[in-house]
Amino acid sequence: VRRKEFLVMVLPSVVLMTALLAVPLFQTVRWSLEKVTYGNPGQWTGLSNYSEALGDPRFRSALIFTVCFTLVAMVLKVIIGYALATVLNMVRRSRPVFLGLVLGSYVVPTVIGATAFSWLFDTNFGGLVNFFLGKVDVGEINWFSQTWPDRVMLMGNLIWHEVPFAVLILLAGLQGLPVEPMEAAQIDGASWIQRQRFVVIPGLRRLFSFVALISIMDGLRMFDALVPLAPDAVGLHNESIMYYVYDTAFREGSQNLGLGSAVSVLTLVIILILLTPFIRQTYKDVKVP
Amino acid sequence: LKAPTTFAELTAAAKTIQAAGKVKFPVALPLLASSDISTQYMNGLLSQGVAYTDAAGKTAALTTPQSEAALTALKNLAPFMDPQVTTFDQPKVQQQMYNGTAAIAIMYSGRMADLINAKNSKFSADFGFAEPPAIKAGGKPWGVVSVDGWSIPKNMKLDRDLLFQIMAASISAEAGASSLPAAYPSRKGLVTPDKVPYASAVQSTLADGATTPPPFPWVSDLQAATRPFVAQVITGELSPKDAMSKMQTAATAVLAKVAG
Repeated sequence: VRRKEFLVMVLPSVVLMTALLAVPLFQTVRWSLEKVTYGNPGQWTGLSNYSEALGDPRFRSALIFTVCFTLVAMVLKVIIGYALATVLNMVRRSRPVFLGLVLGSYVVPTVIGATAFSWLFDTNFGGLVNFFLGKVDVGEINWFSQTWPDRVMLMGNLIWHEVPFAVLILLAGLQGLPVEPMEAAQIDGASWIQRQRFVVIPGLRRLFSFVALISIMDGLRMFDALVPLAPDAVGLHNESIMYYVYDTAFREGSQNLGLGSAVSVLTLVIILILLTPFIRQTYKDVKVP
Repeated sequence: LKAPTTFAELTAAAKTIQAAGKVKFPVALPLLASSDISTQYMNGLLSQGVAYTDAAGKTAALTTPQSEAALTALKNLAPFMDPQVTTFDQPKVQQQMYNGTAAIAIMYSGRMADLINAKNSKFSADFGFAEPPAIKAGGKPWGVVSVDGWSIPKNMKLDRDLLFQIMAASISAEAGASSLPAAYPSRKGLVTPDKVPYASAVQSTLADGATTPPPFPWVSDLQAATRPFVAQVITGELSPKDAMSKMQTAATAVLAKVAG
């Protein structure tokens, strides 16, 4: 009976996972080895899509940009998220109000938030940031057509949009920390910084890993924010891997679905490599001694 | 100032407007480096009777004198356009016109209906419309006929009669009338200056030989491979000659892949 119950409970998940993960993954790997056009069966081309992607300087540029941007964003998200969560944890009465304000940017769809964010820097649409920079006599900054200003804008948008997730997770962690070690540290004369360094941060270690893990996955899939914020992403070397896939595989009647699939498979491998330390740590944490 | 009929006149008009001091960058073109810039470059080629490839679509033809003339025409306008022009798509060009931060634009006629909408701009009543200029006097206009049509996959399994009726309805007199003034319908008799303020500009552009792009399916891949070099001409990173050489190499690689 228990075996039957087990199967009944597990079967829906297995069916869903197969339909939504295994089948698309299999199809992507298959297409990555074929030349695929709409309405025709694929033609086997071996590893040529992989060699084309890896031999394309544009792909290599997108890869380097995406990985570096993701890692910097991850560090910033953890630091800023932790700082904001700590401040919010100190607030008692109006915490829900502040939390609601912080979460506002997180619930806005990415492309809409990024479009609104881009208007802050676009004089055609008001350009509030440009207006204030003009007031303090900062020279004209071409946010959309210069590489580093564009990167700063992209990072600003990412932090604005995604830090609330880190805040939420770390705030929950802070509230769940046992009080005794903090009281003991206080009695022992530990300063605020020492308490953070030796009690709070080690206590939140798993949550930092979780935030970093999600942040890496989000960063490597970055796509829609680039459309309004980096309209010349290719020329500025600010192109993400997913934008490269879209641009080469689908855009304006392009039919390089095989190449797009090969890049998607390569992205999966990169995600796995970057996540390996976190997955190993999680495995160690949950492993029964 | 009169509406310019050549790029030399356009440059001269832009210089005059700029010198007047009211508009810093008078010319607005959709030259988004990841998209629209290819359309503008292609407009330049088509206006001179050539395209990305030879007539058969098999060999890249981007080192021609016409290609150089198209790139040079765009390059010469650079001092009169916003420094971020390679990030401007059609909506941003429209926005420049709404705001009055640009004085002359080249855009699809379908975008012009928004200009005359008083809700969009305080200048809505002041816009005038004209045929786009030619690269040289007496040449065809720097424009293209973009036809919104139907793409039907060859393995389509839908009811063919029903599909035909839907297509027929989309070009009916009722559909055409209700599309005004936002679109230029296939039934030309519906288009009159009282209903479509830019009608005469479109009609003279068509009469003067604006044409449709070649229908080869690999044109989009050619454009994607070559557009970064067009952008680099406008930003001054490449000369037209150097850009043409790089574009030819990139386009040849695309065509080799298509042939393979």
